[in-house]
Amino acid sequence: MIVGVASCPQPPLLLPGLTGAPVPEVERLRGACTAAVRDLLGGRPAEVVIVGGDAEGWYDGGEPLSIVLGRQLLAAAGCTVPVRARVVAAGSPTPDCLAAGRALAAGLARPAALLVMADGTARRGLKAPGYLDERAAPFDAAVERALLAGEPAGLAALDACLAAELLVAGRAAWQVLAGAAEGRTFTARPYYAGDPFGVFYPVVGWRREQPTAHCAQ
Amino acid sequence: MLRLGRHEFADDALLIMAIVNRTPDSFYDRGATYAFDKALDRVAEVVAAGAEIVDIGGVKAAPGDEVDAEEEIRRTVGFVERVRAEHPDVVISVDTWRHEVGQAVCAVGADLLNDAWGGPDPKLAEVAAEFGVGLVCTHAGGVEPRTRPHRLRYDDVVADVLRRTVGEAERAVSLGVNRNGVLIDPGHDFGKNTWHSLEVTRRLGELVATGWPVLVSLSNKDFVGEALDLPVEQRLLGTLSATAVCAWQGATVFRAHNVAETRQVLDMVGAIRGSTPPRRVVRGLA
Repeated sequence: MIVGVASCPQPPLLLPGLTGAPVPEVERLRGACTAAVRDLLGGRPAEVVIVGGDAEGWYDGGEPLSIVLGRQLLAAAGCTVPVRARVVAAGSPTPDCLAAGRALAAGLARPAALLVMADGTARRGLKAPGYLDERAAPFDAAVERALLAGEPAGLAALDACLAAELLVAGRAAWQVLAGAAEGRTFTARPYYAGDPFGVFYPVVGWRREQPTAHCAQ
Repeated sequence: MLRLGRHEFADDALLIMAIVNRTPDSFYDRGATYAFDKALDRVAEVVAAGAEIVDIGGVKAAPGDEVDAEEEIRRTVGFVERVRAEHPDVVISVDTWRHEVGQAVCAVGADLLNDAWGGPDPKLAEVAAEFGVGLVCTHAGGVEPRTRPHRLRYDDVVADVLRRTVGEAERAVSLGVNRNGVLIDPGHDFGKNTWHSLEVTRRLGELVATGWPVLVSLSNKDFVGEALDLPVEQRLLGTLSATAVCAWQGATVFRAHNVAETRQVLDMVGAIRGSTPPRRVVRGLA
């Protein structure tokens, strides 16, 4: 059972020391991610599964950037429960991602929290890494709407081809989440949304809506 | 590890010693900070701009009006006392060759004696030992204080610099000066023509290799002026170029008039060699 979800971005900027001296925009983002992860752990999961893309080569130790960052956020938040990683190829077709999510959920024997490492388009302005693409803002708005609604179907509906054109690094991970959380609704909490460097970074937490007492089993 | 005043500085630190002249006639500032309050403002300014050390001087280096020990004390001691009170953290250096002056300024809180004329008064090192303060051992080629170099020649200027500065440094330690508070300075333009100053700059690594922390005093000096044929007020870029070259070779302390500019150069050299973190790296990493 999934008791909670946190969605955090995965820029290399969050790796320790990579900005040189601390950069205020990055520290603000890091603070939001840490708060979201702390609240995720507050839901008392028996384990945490980090779901992230497969971009490698950023860090010693062999794991992809997304997983390394996820582990660091969990450590910073004082995580004491077991942590597993579920890596998804960033280019996986949507049906494969949804299937992987369903399989992940089906295999959960204990109350689990998902830490989804994902960010939006990188084409949000003239100075963005991928320059300006007018389709970027609406794409990110759709992501944000789905995250803030606690609505997995909105993430399942993201267009994989458009996402690739807009340099979205988080589409596959979000769609694994969509598969894992399918048919359920969550209460969402926003922690951060911004694009200080032209890439869309949403930080959102989901908590499982508690059944009311009379229908509890 | 360099220990000055309240501070311990790492071996790869790049430190600025800001020049604060309580003189009416020094070559660069021409009396701008002779007045007590002006000099105090200058200290606040250079500390804000990133200087770790202030070097307070009461006698201009070049020949000119006689300044005896009594007058030098009048210019420096009360001022050092005030700077100590207002800036408890800054390292206070006093540029003097006279032990009487050294004694008086150490009694009111100086942390470092900058013996810029190469040790003409052997008792100055004893004062540094007595008060537990640091000492800069400079090469001036054995000339009298406040004289211009005239037809000086060396078989090997760097060898002479090494022999005299390391000799002074070891003598100071043998007299009880804290080994971690002793620096050596090749003394650009002191007892040197421009060829000599350029050569000690080019071969600064040989000083660094002695293990003594190296101080360089390059700021707007004549060797920069002659290298570029530029008057005093146009020597900043030349000074900063020499600063970068010395920093790259391992100098630790940079005596400077232009503190903000020097700080930028040292931060850049530190970033290139990997000892100072860059301030803000985000490009390509979002």
